[in-house]
Amino acid sequence: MKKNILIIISVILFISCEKEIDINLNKSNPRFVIEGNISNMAGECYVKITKTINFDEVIPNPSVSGAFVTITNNTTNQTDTINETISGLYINNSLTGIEGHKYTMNIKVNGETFIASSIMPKMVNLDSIQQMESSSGGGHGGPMGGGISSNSIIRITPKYTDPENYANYFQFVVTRNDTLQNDVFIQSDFGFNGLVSDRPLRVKANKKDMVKVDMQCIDEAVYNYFFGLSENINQSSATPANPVSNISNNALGYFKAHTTSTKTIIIK
Amino acid sequence: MRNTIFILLLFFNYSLFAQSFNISGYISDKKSGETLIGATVVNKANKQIGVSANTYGYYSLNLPKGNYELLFTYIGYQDQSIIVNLTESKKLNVIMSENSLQLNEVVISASRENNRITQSQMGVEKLNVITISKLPVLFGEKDVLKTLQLLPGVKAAGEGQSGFTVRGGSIDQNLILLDDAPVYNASHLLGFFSTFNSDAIKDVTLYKGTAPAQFGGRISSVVDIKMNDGNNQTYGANGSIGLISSKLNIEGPIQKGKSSFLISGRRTYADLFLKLSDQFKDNQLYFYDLNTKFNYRFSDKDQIFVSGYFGRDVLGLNNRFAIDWGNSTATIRYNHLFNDKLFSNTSLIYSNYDYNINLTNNANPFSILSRVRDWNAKQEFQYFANNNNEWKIGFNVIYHTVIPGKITDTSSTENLSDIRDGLESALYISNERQVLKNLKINYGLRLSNFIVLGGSNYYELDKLNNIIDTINQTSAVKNYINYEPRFALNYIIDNSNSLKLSYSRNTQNLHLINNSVTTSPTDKWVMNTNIIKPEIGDQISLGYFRNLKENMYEFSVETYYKWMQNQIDYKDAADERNRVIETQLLYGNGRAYGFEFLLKKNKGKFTGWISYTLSRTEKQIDGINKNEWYVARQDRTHDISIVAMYDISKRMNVSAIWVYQTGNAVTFPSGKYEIAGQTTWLYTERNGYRMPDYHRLDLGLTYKLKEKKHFNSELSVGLYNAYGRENAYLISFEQSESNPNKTVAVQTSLFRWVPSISWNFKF
Repeated sequence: MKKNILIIISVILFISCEKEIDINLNKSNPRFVIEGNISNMAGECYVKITKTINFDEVIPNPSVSGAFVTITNNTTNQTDTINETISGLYINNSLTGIEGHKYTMNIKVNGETFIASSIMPKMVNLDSIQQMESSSGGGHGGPMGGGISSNSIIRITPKYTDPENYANYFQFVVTRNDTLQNDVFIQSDFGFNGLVSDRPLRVKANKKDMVKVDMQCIDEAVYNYFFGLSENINQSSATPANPVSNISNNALGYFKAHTTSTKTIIIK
Repeated sequence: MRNTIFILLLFFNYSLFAQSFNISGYISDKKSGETLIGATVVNKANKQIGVSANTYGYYSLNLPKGNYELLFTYIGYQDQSIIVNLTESKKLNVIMSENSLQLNEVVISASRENNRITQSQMGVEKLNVITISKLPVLFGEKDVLKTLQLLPGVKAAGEGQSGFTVRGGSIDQNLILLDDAPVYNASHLLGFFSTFNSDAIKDVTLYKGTAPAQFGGRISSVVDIKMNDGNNQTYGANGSIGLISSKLNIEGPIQKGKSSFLISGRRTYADLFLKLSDQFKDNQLYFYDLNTKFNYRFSDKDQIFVSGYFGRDVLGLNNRFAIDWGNSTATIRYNHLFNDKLFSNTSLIYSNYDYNINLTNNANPFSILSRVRDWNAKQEFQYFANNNNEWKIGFNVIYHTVIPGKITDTSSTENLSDIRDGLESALYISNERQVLKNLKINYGLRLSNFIVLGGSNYYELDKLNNIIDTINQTSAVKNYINYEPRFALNYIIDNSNSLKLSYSRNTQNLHLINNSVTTSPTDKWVMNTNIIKPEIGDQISLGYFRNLKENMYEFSVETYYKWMQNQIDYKDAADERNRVIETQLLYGNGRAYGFEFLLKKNKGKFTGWISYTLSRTEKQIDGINKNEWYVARQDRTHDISIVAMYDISKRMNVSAIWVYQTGNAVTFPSGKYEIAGQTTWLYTERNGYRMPDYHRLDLGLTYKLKEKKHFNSELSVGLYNAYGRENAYLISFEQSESNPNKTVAVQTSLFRWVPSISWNFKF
């Protein structure tokens, strides 16, 4: 929003220009980056371990092999091992979580231990998804261009009923024609408690694309992590920072126990 | 309280024993009847004996029985001497004429010529409207706050911004008063214009060091802005037509010499250009403001002033999203003279800042309202015990209400966050006196109190900022009491040299929480709560002041050290929209120190100044930067301003401004990684990098057009950023277009070669 306002103002006041510049950024020591997931659906349990690189190096950052990874259900005290399938990626296809239970991830690698816990919230169903009639420009001639053309931004509304209690958090994972979309979509019930939510997601898609939306219920720490992640990626804060992780020992990343409810739509 | 009354009585008694008479009255301008703030009166035979007029133009001079020649002086005005035979106390209202002989000469400091030497306060800057009107500014819109930024110790918050920081403080730590009413958001159009229409302004005083005890509530500085009273002699109008805005100011007497009114309005019309562009024709962006004032003198002893300000910004995007915001203030002031030594002022003040957001295109249209509102009462007694001894005693009570966000849709209303009320009050006493022939002191004490009123939810948090309990009670939740001692000492070496030392403590009960680069209408004001404590700032400063060549040149060096407690900042990766803002905040300490240098040429065809500041500002907040000290965002090592004005002829003058600043401290990534498929930045420290150095040259020219009877006008042309420096406004990091796996830094710059033209008229 703020950036849009800035663009409009600088258009009115004639002037703004952008150029690439050289900046001498410091080197940094490599740190562990961990992405851990467990859901109430089978085939969604995985852990990915990598290390950070310097600013002038090339993505992807290197993966970390040889870790010993377990996930414990703290309610039933059952521990499962997650095995490495390809370098840096650890998967357990048979492990499914139970809503309302707390899970703890434990990783031992290169003599270091990382621990994180996450609570899988009670499931909320995604009732429907709906494509809004207009693209982002608000009809024709808007700032982002108009109509549904190649790679236009389409508003897709996930409809669900927020539970009566306060502090529910949701994340939406969007897949377009079987390709995972990277944008971070999160919603909380702040200001919308107990209501039917129809806040749209702005999704890149074309006509006839198949768009799949996974609605995940997540806990507050995970919501805060992804909020920080989107601020980090968009560089929208004046005091940029690493997203606050729920993993111990100074690791970057997150451990997320979530429910999944899915709907699919074909773009018109 | 009983002690205060006792002290008050003591000085009434004291005056009874004095073997002398009083001569007192108002000093005003002949043409407009405007009172002259700070005009001086001295005994011509012994110039050591003298006083200056207060903010209402009132003076009171104490002399033994006898014959005197009194000399009245005010910068830019003809000296006036009046012979009096003093056998009893007397009223003497004085009317002064502008100095027509030197009409072409600019005088850039207000009031007495060697005021900077003789006044006890230090770190005080005065601006008069003539200086403001001669200098080039962005878009040609004259602006008091932007002119203040050219003085040492005062820094712009960002490119083209009217927001400023003083001696390492943050933007919200400046108390900005318009006719005594605090203005919560002093900027229009996201900071590119200030809310003050220079046509309606009479006097601007900035206290960056020790402000006298009658001011309080912010820990960094006070900007005291007084509006014109309105011409009580003849009707007049003036105004200007410019590229993006026009102004009109009308004033005149209601009853000649007794009462007057003033109405001053301004409107921007940049949004008309939007209509021309197909892409933006559905957008709106403009602001307007209106200053009004009315005053009436009942008698020699009673006078009433009513003044008001109303301003609004409107921004609309594609009929889908609209936001409007603005301040409104109203002040009623009543002056009463109990006797010629005791001056009283009673003020009732209303101040309101709010914004409304309307979202109309969703299935459920809704609006959000946010507001800060004050009801404020002030009483001050000014007692002129004798020429070298002046007291001020007063109190101030403010009832604050903050609505952080109220969301309304077709069916319901919900508060995004708790509505809170607070009662702020203060009791103060200050005294200025000459203790020795060469030593002047001003000392005082302000006792401030803030009551966090009950009636809404407050929270208990654990060490990790998680809510563990909710407090809801009707009685007060918390009571904060602070003592704020102040003193300023001036050792006058001789008529043109002085040495000053001062110390002050200030507290602040309302805090602006801002997490973006620019000032935004939606920045959050929060009050003290059971968790958020009053900010406390202590400052000590030392300065040497020297005037040269009969006050033609002013030179000063000042140095300061400031330490601040209970400073507030967002925690890392904070969510500004959180329902309980306290869970997103961290608290710690700040320190700032620096050295300021100013050389000013006040008279002649060529005038101007050079100012240089060397400074450092740091913060230490547990939870940020591994709990270590880090430089604050507003920290700038070097800051230089050079201002030059030259009168080529009676009709034409040119001006130039050059500024140079070390870039702001900023946080850049030192590494990266991929997570959830996105390139993510790795940060290792807060504010560890610097933006590139900032510098800029502005040029201006004013040409007076041929005068006609009752009508004169001038043309003013300006060029902002004359050599087109691409100053970095923002630096962001993106994927390279040629290789998506590589990362590049992209700099956004805003204004290069911005021309402006405006036509100013007066009749």
